[in-house]
Amino acid sequence: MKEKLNLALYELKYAFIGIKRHLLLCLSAISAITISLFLMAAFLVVGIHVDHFATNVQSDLSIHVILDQDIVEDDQINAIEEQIQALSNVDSVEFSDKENELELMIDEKGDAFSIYKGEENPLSNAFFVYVQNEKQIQNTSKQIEEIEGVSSSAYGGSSVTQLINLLDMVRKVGYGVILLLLVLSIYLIFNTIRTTIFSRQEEIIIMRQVGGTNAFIKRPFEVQGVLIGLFGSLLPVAALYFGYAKLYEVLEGQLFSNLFSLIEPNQIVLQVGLIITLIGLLIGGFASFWAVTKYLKVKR
Amino acid sequence: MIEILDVSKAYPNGVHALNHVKLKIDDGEFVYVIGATGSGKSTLIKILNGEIVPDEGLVIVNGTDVGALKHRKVPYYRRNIGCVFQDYRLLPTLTVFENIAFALEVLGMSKKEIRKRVRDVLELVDLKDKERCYPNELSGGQQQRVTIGRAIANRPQVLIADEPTGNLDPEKSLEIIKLLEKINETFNTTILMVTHDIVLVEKFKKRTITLDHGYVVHDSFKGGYKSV
Ligand SMILES: Nc1ncnc2c1ncn2[C@@H]1O[C@H](COP(=O)(O)OP(=O)(O)OP(=O)(O)O)[C@@H](O)[C@H]1O
Ligand SMILES: [Mg+2]
Repeated sequence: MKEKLNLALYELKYAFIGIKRHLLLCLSAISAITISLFLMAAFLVVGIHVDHFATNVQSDLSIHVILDQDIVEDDQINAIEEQIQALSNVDSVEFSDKENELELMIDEKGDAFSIYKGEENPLSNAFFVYVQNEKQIQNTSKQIEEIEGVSSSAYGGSSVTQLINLLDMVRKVGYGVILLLLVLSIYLIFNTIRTTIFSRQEEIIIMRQVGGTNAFIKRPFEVQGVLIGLFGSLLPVAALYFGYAKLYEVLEGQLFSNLFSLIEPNQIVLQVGLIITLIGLLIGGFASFWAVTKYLKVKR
Repeated sequence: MIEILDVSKAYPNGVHALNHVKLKIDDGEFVYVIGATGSGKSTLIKILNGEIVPDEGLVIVNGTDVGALKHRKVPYYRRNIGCVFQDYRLLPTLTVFENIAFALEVLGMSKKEIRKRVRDVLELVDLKDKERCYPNELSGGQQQRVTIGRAIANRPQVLIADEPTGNLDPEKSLEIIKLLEKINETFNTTILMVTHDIVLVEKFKKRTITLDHGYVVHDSFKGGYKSV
């Protein structure tokens, strides 16, 4: 028991000695990891946002269904709503009475329209219809127009479907790039640590020859790998923390329009920061373990 | 007891480094192994410390079949076998003190005990003033003495030494051989020492095993060097 404790203490000691006496080596490994995690963070931020924008645009997209002027009774309105709801691509239907329609118009076109408030309101009742598959929105819109009592049905038009298709493509490409970058940075970190340990291959062999067990030799290297990963992720996380907050502030939380609203800094920093730190730690530890195990086997 | 039963070893390049070697060395014996360069002396040492496995035959040290040890069990075996390497094999980033301490730390010995042991050993190999030096700050002979210190630190039952006086002047060589004799007598440690130093072999007469092209050509219990 006492021996186990001593062994653990010595293992920890050698983890730190290893860093202290191979400082240059460790620093170069840390900087390599810093760079790849930094890139990783940047791409994750972009990728998460593309995904966010795409979802935003799509969920914002609705069909504006304007009813005939004479549809005013609840029964009539309910009957039409039921017919719309029955269509296969329809997700949800929201009623918007003519007062609400006028408010929307005033919002969009200006205060001049407020003179129509009250009895003079020339608008009709309407629905906002949200669809399940945005690519089928054109069809659904046509089907709604056929319904008795519907005056017109409109959505953003072909420019919106094009935007959706584009975002969809960007999203797919983004996923691909992130995955590629992930693999690349994992490989880079792995290789860096492996090279660090390779230059200490001789030491590993000697340690075994003077009675060091595999576990005793391995553990300091594993701890070192995890520490190198941790130190390597410090700078990227800090850059993310300050950099993204600044970006958010400068852009006032959105890109061009509120359709492209940016994600809250806290959320991004937590998500991306956690991902890159974990990558640093895990790959650092695992690469060390793997490399030492390999060099332990070189000689008997 | 060390038993080498009909051991042969050929390297992948086809060199037959050992051929049908049969030796028996009792507990507490002090034995020289001599022979021309390339005669297989270091190979014999490596077979004894488990670094290489014989192609044929058995190596039994204190009841352990060395060739049959699993890879991960070899370090445990080595804790009872002090080994002085021809090429020192010191850890370059550890000081003299730390290099010797390492061999004790792997056992889980307490820090206090280790400090005392290492001090004693450093006194024995006369390196007290060098304990804070790194191996590359030492002369060949000093490094060799560190290696000896590391090998005897945990008082092994068997000490195998590959040319432990190879880089020492006659005076220092004499000290080392006297040190080994002292260890041999005080702890009844079995010592197998490879050497080129005929003067030493003649002066401190002991059982001498002569290797030639991997064959044991002479094994003299009478002692002294005898040409074949
Ligand atoms: N790793 C190796 N691979 C191939 N051949 C080797 C290897 N090690 C040694 N040999 C060969 O095996 C033979 C015996 O080598 P060994 O090192 O045992 O000799 P030695 O008696 O210790 O020599 P020296 O006195 O020069 O140290 C030599 O011919 C050598 O060239
Ligand atoms: Mg040799």
